Amino acid sequence: MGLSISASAAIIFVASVIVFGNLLAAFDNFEQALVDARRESQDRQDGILHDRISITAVDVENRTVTLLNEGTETLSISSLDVFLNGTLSDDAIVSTSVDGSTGTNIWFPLETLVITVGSSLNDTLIRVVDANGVAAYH
Amino acid sequence: MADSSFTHMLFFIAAIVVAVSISGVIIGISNSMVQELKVKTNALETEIGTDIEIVNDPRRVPYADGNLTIYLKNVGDITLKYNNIAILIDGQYVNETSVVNEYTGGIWTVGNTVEMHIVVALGAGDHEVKAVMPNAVSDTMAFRI
Repeated sequence: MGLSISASAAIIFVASVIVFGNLLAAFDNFEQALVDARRESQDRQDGILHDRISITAVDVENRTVTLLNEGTETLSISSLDVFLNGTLSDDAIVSTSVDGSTGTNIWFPLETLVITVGSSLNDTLIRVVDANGVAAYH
Repeated sequence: MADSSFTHMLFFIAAIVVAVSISGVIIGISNSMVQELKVKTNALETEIGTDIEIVNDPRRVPYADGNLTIYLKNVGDITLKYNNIAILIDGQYVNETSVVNEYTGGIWTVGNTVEMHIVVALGAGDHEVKAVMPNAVSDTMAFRI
């Protein structure tokens, strides 16, 4: 009888250790994933807080829009969206240059971005949105 | 004596069978809990990483012939699918929507904007559009026609 109880107890003990190990690992993964996701979310919120762009000039003759990165975030030019009279006009972008440098995709703080578009800017409502969803109006 | 040993043997086997059964059930339940936790973890990660924004110029939202165009930008941390975005105009669910862009398979990468066409009759005045992802992450924009 004693052997039966001991053997049964041993089996249940081993099973309990397996269960405890599985649950502990799962909870650890859950907590880690949550911490990572919250950190990324916090980084994103910080990015939005430190992100500010403005349209400083519009040259109707040369069809250029000049923007200044007034925030402390480095921005990606390829993620910018340009709206002309409410319509997404990314296809209308002919060229971009950052402080005179063409072909770059990086827009550092306090640098000036010049976007040249193919369509007329005469009496045009302009809105530029960056990767964080922060916008500049003209 | 032999009967007693046989009885003990039966009890032993029965005890082992019961213990193994109980262990199996416990391990099975814990595995289910682990799987459920993994599902919850993924759902939570997706929800926290999801963020969309209606990036239209609210001063002039494209609307012609009962066709409203809105632009949605993926401003979150993860690639999304745009197939199941629910659109509400002035609080009413709109069934007739379509997405127009260059992406295939409904894949919507971070930083990219999708164009949605919504068939809806709108009168002149103030309106509100709300885009809702399947995980309830949403964005709302007020505009004027």
